[in-house]
Amino acid sequence: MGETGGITGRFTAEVCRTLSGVESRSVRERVLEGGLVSIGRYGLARTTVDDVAQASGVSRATIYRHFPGGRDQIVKDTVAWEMGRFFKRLGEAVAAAPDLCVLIEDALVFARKALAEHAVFQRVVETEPDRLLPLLTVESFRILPLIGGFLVPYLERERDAGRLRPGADIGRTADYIARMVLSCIGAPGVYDFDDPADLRLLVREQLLAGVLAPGSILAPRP
Amino acid sequence: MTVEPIASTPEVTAKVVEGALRAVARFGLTKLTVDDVAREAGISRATLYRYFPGRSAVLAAVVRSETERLQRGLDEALGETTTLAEALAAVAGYGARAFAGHEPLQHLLATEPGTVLPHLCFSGADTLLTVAADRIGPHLCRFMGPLEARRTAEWLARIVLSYGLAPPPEPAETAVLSVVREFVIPAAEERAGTAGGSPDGTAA
Repeated sequence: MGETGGITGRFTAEVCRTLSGVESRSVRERVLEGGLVSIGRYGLARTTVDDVAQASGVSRATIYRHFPGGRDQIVKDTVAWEMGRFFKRLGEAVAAAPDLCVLIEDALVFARKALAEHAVFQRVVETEPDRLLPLLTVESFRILPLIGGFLVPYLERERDAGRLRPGADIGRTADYIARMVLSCIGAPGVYDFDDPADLRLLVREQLLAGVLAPGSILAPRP
Repeated sequence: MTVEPIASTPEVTAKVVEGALRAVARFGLTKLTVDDVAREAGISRATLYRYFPGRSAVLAAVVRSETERLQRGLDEALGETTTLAEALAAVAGYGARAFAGHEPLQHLLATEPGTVLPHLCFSGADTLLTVAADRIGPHLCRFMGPLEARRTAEWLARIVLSYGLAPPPEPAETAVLSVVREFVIPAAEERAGTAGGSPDGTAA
């Protein structure tokens, strides 16, 4: 059965290479994808190495070579990997924004929508929040510097255009915005992200109001 | 046979709540029994059961009492403030201290985060932020309109929650106060047209 899985996996990799012309995904990535599929089917608590082997087409032996910690490690690493992918997609979706206000507004809308459409996340946060949330909280320590680092060039652009508050420290500011963006993605609180006026209140009068110099909040996109 | 619970007296309730908080800080929530609470409270199991028929009744009393205690602490912290800057710093500072200094909460976050995080993340956080807007917002109405007061209160709660759940290297209260002074107070003063309180949150 492990061998069949291996053949299926190799076949899938072959197809991927042929179709897209890119390097095949690593074994590790295939296992993590299988982990995601299994978690979506069986949940965090009940996913087994056998499920992941079947979903990924990678044999049990190979899986254990890459993930010596077995199912617990696969589950933990899958959550970390998917969270990383989520924020990578988010970064790509907003990278071309003309200014920081638009960037944050687009990021919040994109992230809320992507989260609402993420079937695995929705299932697990509904049925196993006690297992998911500690993993996400641990991951948030890794994600905060990533979001902050992503924001630095945009903050430098605002500073160079004279739109940051005088004396603002880019690193501190990036960390603050990263925290607040993460907070807003997780919980919109009193704001409705579907309402552009509400979103502007959140971003322009709250989140970035203390970051951008008074009078530097650009008019919203028409 | 079920015995109708008897309405507890304030003295007994206080003993039970304190006992329960001590018990949670020692044993956590998952394995917490009514016996643990009775022992920590220094009252007999039978007495405890007469007033609080089971674990969930005890925990409901704890939540009620802690909510009231937080509200009183907040009222006190705000009572001494006169400017907008002072009020915002007082709310944030109190919130950060209450979060970081809450032993049962910190014990749960460290040992069984799955029991508390659902109340602090995603829909749990939405509920918490709305409660903060409802409870703290009215205190800020002397400086701004009611809707903006709600949003500002909510924002302070977000900051407290973020720095409480993912603590920075420095003490959370220091970090929270410094971001509130840097990123919240000046903009709030400009909007309210009350700029002039000194930016460090002390009286001008």
